[in-house]
Amino acid sequence: MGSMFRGEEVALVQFFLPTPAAYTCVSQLGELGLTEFRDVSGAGQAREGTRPDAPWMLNASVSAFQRRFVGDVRRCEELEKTFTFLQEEVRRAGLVLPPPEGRLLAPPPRDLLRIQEETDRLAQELRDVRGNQQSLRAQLHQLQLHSAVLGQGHHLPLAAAPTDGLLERSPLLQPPGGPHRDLRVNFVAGAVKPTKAAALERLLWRACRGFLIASFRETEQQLEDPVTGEPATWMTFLISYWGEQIGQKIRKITDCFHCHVFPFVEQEEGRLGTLQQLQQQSLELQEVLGETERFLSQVLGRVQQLLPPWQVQIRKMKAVYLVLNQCSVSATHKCLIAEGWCASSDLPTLQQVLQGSSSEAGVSAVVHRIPCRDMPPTLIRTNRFTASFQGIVDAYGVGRYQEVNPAPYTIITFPFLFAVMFGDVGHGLLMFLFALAMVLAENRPAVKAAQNEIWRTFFSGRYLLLLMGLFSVYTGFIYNECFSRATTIFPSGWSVAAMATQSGWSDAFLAEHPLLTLDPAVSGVFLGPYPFGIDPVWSLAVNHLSFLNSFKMKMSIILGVTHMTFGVVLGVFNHVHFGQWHRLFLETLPELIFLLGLFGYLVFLVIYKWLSVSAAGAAAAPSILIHFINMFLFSRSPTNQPLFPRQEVVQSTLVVLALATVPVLLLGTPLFLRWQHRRPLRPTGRQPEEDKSGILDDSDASVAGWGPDEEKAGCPGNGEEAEFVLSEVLMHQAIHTIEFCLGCISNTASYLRLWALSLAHAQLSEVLWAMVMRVGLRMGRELGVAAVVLVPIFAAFAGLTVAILLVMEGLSAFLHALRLHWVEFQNKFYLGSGYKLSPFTFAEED
Amino acid sequence: MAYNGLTVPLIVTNVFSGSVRFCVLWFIPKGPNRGVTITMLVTCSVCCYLFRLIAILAQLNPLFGPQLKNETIWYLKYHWP
Repeated sequence: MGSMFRGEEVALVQFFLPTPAAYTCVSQLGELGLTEFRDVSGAGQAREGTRPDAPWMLNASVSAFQRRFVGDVRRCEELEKTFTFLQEEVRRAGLVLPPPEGRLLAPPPRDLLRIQEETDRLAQELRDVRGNQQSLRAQLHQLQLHSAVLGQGHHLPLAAAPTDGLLERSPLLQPPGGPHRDLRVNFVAGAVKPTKAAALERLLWRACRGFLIASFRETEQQLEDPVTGEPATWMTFLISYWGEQIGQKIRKITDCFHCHVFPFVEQEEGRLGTLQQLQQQSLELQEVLGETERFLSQVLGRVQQLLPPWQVQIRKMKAVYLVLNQCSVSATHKCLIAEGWCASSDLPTLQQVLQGSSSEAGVSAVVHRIPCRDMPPTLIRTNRFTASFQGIVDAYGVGRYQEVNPAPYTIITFPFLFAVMFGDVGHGLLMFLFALAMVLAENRPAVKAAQNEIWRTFFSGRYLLLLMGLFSVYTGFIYNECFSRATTIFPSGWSVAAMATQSGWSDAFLAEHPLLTLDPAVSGVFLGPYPFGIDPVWSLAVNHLSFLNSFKMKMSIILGVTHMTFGVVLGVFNHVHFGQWHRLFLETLPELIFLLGLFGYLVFLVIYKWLSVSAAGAAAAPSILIHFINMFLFSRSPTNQPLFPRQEVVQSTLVVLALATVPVLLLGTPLFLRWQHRRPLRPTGRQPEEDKSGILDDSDASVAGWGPDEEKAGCPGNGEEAEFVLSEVLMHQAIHTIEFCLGCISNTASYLRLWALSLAHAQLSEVLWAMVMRVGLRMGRELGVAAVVLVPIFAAFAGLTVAILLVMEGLSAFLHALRLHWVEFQNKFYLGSGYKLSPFTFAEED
Repeated sequence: MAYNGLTVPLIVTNVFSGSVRFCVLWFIPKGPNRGVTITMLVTCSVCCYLFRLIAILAQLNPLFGPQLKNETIWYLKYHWP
């Protein structure tokens, strides 16, 4: 049937890789992606002695830090650090690294040195250029400040012109051009950050009041800050003062405020000259800066080109070295020994690849199968359609090795049970179209590269949604609901006209009675069952829930019992495959008798009542519920008619039979195993049983052990005497029995959620229709009123439908269908305690 | 199709659809997915058939009828055959 039924056969293989070719071999294996390597280097094992099950291995008592290729791994990691630095630089410059193209192999070890050198050189260059750029910018900033200060100092009048009137500071100031001509006026010019300007002014005035004139101006243009690159304005100031001590005070204050102070020449010509000089200097500097930035972009361009393939290659190299660290060295140090898991069908491919990659080394690499003792990992190959369903099953637990896989059935039963809870043609159609759009657009790169997590969740389940929508359309037709409205594809099976004529329902009679019931006992009223689904007359009836509830509850029970029986039957395949025939008779048979005897009988009662009790006997119709209760209590109700003759006898027999199966379930397997264990052991013929009883000693006794398949694979029993502890086995079996028997009852009732959720969905959509759309459709009869009003009403209807009915109800039904599968279906046969084969591969995880 | 005596048409439909499904199974292309496809088709037909069967059986012998409002009865008396 293919690997989806059960999982492929996985073998433990051993590689002998000649040391010179080991690197290439592992690199090729990584490209293939078929093997999962195991750690056999002995690191972490007991330090003394050889491994008991691998006598061909040397004393491999190395600690984790002394593995052979640790140095290479470290070098790769250092390179990766430099790569990160380069990547950061590229990102800072606003450029983007293009994704690497083509298939890059891990480079041979001798290339590592070359890559390392080039990387270091690029990093150094980048650092130098960046440093230069920084210092040049700082210089430019200074020059610009200086010229701003001088340029603005232009507008400030010299203190020698008293008539200019810009002296606002101290009224006590006397123009020094007067009697104190011998006092020299000095100037301090500089620039300060605007936030500190006010504080500076205040401090200056307090400290040197009366002896200075300070003028603050904001720079006209914004200067680029050298560190952050953002434009900022500065305040330039010009302080004229006289007196040496004042000068020192002023300088201290300006130092304190971290102002940039520049020399200020009194004469205007001097200042003009300096200004021109400054401007020339800044022009030159800007040229140099331009050159530097051009060089920087050149370097960055080189980095852009070289970095992406290097990153991929070094990552692959590091992965290969990590795998090589897991190998152990042979006695002669001539080859490396590695162990791994791979599918048996892939073994020839592996051998071929290894031959090819080690041909130049002279000695070829060898791979062969070895006996295994542990449970192999599970490998189930899926394509993009089956992957989502396998994902659902794996989310509960990855199957044990060669256990029956519930996924191929889940492909259909999961969307089906979802649809039972969601049944509506309109909603199902919307869901189907949405999923179809996703499926048709699945190969577009824009869709694949989307990063939104919610979108990716929906996208990865597109096939699931497709099937769910499709089945919902089908169940919608059966429930006869399309956006909560029923359709009459076929003519209804109930005739109102016949009832009216037969019962004399005149118009006057109808006017008096607001509610009247159609009676199926009257001839001509009920013409026959609707051929496809629920009759549309029920959607017009006031008591439609009475009918629908009864129908849906019975439907849930029937579907539930069928699903669970299917689960128990699947367990048969497990028992047969692992050769545990005793479990077939001592477990599956009693389980089936219990389940079918009690709940299969209930289903039988339901169907029998549907078929046999007609409208004529409606008044005296037997109640299945009362019969079922009386069955367990061994009592009878006189008012409840039996459904068929000798019903009581049949029921008592079934209950007794079911109760009798409980001790068989409880004690059968443990006693059988004990008897088997006690039989005299004969050497080779009895090996299989011994294995089974030994392995049953593991943590879960009801688990499938090894079967004849593993015998063929050459997995011998360990030779150790397995202890058979009866009490442990009994306890496990008791747990299993209780879980099954009580679970039968509770799980059957649990399937009633199919009824509950479909009822909720139907009611919600009906309420939405009645409260929203119908209001709009009943608007006035004038032309145009209804049309205008319907537009916003329909918008509200559509929005609420999508938000509540599709998203919320969809998620809810999805969750409940999932629970039904995981708990009620899978606990009948599935253990799910295995682990997946995760091969060593260079493929990107998505 | 709403008339009594549904046994003959029911049997005919069942036999017909069963044989159609059986024939379809022979035409599944051989490939790695053959087993899965067959499983899917069988499960799908069983589920859908069972569901429809339950719906028909539940309505075969109704024990009570729909309770309608008088306005509905007025309308249906003349609108439905």
